[in-house]
Amino acid sequence: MKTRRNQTIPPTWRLVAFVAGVALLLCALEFLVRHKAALFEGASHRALAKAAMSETHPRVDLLFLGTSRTQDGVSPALVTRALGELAPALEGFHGYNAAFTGSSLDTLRSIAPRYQTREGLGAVIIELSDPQISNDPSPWEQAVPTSVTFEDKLARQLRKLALIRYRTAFLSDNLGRLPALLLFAPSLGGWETRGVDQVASWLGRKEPAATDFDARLWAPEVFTPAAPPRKLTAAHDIVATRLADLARSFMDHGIRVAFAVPPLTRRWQPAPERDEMRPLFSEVARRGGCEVWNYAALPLLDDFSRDSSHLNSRGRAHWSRALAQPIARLFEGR
Amino acid sequence: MLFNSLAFFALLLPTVALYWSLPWQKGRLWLLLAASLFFYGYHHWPSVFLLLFTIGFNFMAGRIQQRRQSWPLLWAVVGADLSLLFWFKYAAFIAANVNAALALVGVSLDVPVPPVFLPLGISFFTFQVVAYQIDVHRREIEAEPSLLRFAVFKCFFPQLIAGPIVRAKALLPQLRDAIRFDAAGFHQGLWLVLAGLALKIGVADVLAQFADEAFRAPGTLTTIGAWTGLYAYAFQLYADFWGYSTMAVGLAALFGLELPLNFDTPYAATSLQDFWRRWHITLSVWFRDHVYIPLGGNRHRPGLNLLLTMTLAGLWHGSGWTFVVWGLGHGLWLALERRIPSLPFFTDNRAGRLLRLVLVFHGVCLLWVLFRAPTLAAAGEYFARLLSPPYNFSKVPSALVSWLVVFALAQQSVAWTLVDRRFVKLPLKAQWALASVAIYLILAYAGAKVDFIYFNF
Repeated sequence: MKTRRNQTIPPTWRLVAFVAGVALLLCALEFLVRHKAALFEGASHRALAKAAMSETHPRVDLLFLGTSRTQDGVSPALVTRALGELAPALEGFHGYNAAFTGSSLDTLRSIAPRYQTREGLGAVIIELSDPQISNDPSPWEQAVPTSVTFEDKLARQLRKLALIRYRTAFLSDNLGRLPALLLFAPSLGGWETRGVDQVASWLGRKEPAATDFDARLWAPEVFTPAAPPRKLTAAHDIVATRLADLARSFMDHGIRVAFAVPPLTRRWQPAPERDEMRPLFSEVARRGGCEVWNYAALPLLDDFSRDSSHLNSRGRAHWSRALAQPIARLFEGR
Repeated sequence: MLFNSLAFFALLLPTVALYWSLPWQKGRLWLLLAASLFFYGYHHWPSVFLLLFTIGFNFMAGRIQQRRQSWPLLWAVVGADLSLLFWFKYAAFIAANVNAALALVGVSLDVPVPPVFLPLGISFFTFQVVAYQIDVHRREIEAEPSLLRFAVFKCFFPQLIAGPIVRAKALLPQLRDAIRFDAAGFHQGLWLVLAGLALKIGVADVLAQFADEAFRAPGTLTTIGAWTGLYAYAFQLYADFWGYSTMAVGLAALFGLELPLNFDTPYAATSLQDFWRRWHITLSVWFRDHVYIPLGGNRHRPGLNLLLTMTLAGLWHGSGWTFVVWGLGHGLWLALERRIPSLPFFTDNRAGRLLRLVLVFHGVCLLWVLFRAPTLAAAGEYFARLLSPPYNFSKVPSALVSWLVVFALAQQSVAWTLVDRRFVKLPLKAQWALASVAIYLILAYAGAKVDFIYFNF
């Protein structure tokens, strides 16, 4: 029936309708992508996704940066809930976990300015770990062609279209981020990487707090700015300077900074965070003028982790609770 | 100029608009000729002179053949055409092999390897003019009296570089008649261009990453890795060439001209003969009409004829021993297929056909190793990883599995929309939905800028 009706339309009109429909679709897509540019840009890279999602939150007082160890290990809601219990003045704080898998020092340095200008941000906790300092850089911005061929000039002109500029958001690897960015972002704390967790958070589920928390078990090794100078390897020396610069760039915007070394299970070997990286922690604290909290040396039981270097939901509840203690101290200025 | 480049589309759109705004047939033909030469020369401008020479030479030769039907004349003309192909494509290969053979017998005569470039599409346009000269000789067509029309037939850009190998009797009559705008044909053409581009960018270029990775270091592959890499290449090659051919037919339709389709779901073939009736159809027909049948066809020594024809077809694809062995393999298989009667388990029910389809597909895949590997040694190494122990397993990238499964399942439906103006007959909502999928693939995956594989032949 429908086909017959379609066939009665003159071919020219069918052609016009087809072209108009496709043009309309492209215009609608361009409008959508332009309107939600930050979110579509975010879909193209994990770092940008987290930054874009954090910007959908009206307020962020406390920010976590780092690799998947921090992403899996910290629930900002549990941290801020515990903060409210520890220091009533800090009640109602809002946190966001902007850590992401594969984070590198270069990526952190590139993304940092986006958070530094965020109004109301009080403190940032930056992961300090072996992967965080040794992961390869993962650039998100495609190099804009600079050569002068006709093709390059056209490509440069086309990039003025949001649909073209942010088209990598539509790659199958990145497409999965779009629902989180477009729908769930304001209700996510940043640790929810699985779709089911995202939907649960969107529906208002609250993560259960640690019931059997033992503060003595979770007391970190603390390196303070007052630490004496330590001799570092050439590679660590460069890393210490870069991390210190990163910390100072936040402090210059009035944001408190601390570094946190995520917990590891006893099975995780080799774990440089337990021994050879300790001089680096000390130097970062001294050069950066901020504390380094080392949780890697804790004799952690396996039932806190989903694998040797990533915490499970129980571990997340406990480490989030544990982090609240030094964070409260950080806010109190002690 | 690559069909998947921005520059091509930027110039195509005004060319199409100008073409349909010109009221005279002659003006349109001049525009087509100018555009074709420009698109061809954009890649490597000196090749234009070779193309112009081929046009002039074959136009004259055709006219002479029209007046005087003689075998020596035909041989001279075809020999001259083939000698160009021979020089540009095979001279270096032959010189290198002669040197190697002489070295084997202890003679150190160093035949110089000529430093020649490979003009884009030379294999295709040489075969096209050879077919034209033979058709004129056989009086199947009359030699084209208009140089302009002959030049457009010869270098019409959609088919110039990688086919389809259009016969003169299919295209020249269309150029003689006044070309009228046909909305339905234009509509179908738009879809063919869109679908072809999506096949190239959204399927072939994506699968290329996996195939290239597998063939880069076959020695490091697991058995599973080698097989999945081979599947990736089989579908990459198919989507690449199918995409190109589909675009070529679609581009021609935008100018009101009709080109033959070159593919008909070849991986659904249930015999190798069936495969060659579905894969690169215009080339298969060329070899059948101009090599296989003149050699004796089915009448005398068909097995040997198949072997020779397919070996030449292999050599046509590239000047390398891998291509020769690839062609030889196909020839042997085709010859065996003629000899061996159907086995009892190949019944003509659904299960039997499915079994044959799976066997033919895997046989073709195994021969693709020779097509893709740079040397026979590399092909041998890949075969070893595919077939010989140790058989080890590894995790297959889920992205590769998804692409392969979706493409394998969708190809039949996509192919259905490409013929007989079926796309135009679909409800508009279905057209928009299909166009959206194609645009999505182009938008998301454009940028790899991988050359069409058949541009190398």
